Amino acid sequence: MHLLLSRDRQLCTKKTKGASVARIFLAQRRKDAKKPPKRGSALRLCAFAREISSAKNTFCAKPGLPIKTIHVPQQRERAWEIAREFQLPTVYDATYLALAELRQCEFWTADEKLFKRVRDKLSFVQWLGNYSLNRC
Amino acid sequence: MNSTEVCVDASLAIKVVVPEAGSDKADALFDQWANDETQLIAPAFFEVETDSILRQKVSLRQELTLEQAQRAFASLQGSPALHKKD
Repeated sequence: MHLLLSRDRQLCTKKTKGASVARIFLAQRRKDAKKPPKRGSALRLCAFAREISSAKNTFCAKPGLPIKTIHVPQQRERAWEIAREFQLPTVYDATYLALAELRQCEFWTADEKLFKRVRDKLSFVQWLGNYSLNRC
Repeated sequence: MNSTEVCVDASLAIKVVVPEAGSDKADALFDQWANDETQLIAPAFFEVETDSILRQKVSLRQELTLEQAQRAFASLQGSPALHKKD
């Protein structure tokens, strides 16, 4: 947790007017939530920093999303089968589903149509809309 | 079920860098995964999808200005994803 805190504190480090605004904004959010700083919201804050500041030189270190892109054996074949089984028009969504199935992990999406299409047979699929903010 | 990994798609990830419906939930999810030290995974074309969504939001749906999309792209790009073949 301390590591995460330190990492997020590095998001907006350059001493510019814009960065100061960003730091105040982040600090307020932390105070409000009384929780560790939010990586996701901090990322978006950096992306839209100029929306809340007129500073020309707003600087944000960019941590990126910590997502590892991988390919596993049989992924392509399984994606093809899934696309056929659920009559998906492309294999893009099916490839996510195949990867999660082969890795035996959850698959999270914001795509409600996809979720509704596969939820009865693929129990590892989770939809963002069902996530409760009060869960933690 | 493997709880140390979670597969995420571009529709979810984009909500972390662009303010839109569901961004609050996406933030909370990514925070939870970070706290749990969950490894997030996606297929190799994940980055192409996220970047295409941003382009669509500029060109087709006109939901973002080019500058906003550029900053969202920069936020996504910050940490190069690791590419690995098992």
